[in-house]
Amino acid sequence: MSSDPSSIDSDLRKLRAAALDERLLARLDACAGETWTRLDATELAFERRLQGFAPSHLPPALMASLESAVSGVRFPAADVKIVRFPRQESSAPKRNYGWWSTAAAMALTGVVTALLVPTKPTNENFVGAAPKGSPTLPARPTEKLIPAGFNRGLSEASDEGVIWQSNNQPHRVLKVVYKDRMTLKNTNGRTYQVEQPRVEYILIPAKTD
Amino acid sequence: MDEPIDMPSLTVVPEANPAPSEWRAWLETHGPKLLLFARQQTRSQQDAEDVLQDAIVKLVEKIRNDEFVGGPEAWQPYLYTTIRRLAIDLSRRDDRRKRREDTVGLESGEAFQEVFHPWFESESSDDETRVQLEEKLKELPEKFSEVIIMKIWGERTFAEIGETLGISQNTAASRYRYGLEALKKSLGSARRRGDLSI
Repeated sequence: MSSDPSSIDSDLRKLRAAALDERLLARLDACAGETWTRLDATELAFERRLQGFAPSHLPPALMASLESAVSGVRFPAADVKIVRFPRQESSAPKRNYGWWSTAAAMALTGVVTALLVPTKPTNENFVGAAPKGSPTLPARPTEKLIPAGFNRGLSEASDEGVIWQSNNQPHRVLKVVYKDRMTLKNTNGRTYQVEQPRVEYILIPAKTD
Repeated sequence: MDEPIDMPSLTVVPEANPAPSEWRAWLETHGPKLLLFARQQTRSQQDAEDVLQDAIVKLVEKIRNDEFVGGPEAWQPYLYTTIRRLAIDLSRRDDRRKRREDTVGLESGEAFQEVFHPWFESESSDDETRVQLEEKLKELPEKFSEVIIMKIWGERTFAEIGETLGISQNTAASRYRYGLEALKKSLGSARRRGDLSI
């Protein structure tokens, strides 16, 4: 080889990279075809024979030590697959809409049932009917009534004080009075309204010194 | 003498062994696989046990602090990665220490201890194969043996192995294939002699 740089460059350019051997070509081909991770029958057979050798059990002292390390930590249920988001509590107040909808549905069902159950023939108006002057329900409704609306109004809330039983934590008692109003319509489009008061007592854990 | 009291007969039923706790059952199932991997990653049984314990403690701390995402299925990838990381850290510390100390005596002591801590369960009928297998696995380049141990005894997929080692699943598959081939070759002579059953 000449010592002249231009000649060396020329000589080097004549060289060609070695061709890929068959094995590497096959590997690259399999990788491109996404089959490289699949084992052939011979490899699987050898793998199965090796699997016949079980790893040694944990030495008793190590097992005891590991059991001690995990003591006090509850083992999670195997079928629980909860992916937790990073712990960032939302500042928005939580509102339990599920409870409200359940309560509304129950109230509605109760009122409809009360309307449709046959009662003694009487001329008295429906219990809890609307104030005087508004249309009243017949004592034995024969028409088909369809619920047309439901409204819940908070009519009163008061602090009833603190209760404290000796075996329990003190609780502040709040009395909340709601007025549920349901609107029903008959097939002629006539509207009936039913009002029902409801009282709830809410216990809130109270702070103690 | 007192009159015998007419009492309903009671039979004392001896209580069977208490059911193992869920943790114990989990450790009995997965502990041996993890210890085998730790054993392959470290220089001695003692180091392997230390590394496994540290990894479990780290996992438990995460579970306790509600920082671990996923259930028991997600523990193993985490544990394999942690064992490997801890083993590398330990190895580096050992290297530095060994440069300062004369460890000739310790080396021979460790080698002596290893006789009593086989990697695989001993079955008298196939003891020779077990010994040969362990020996040949130790002789394999580490990058091959770690993949083989994770795949065969850890039952990890190539994708999971790749994630643990920071390589692609194709590279994991390559190392596995070449490792198996090398293992077969090195076990070949013993097999030809009829010493081995594999």
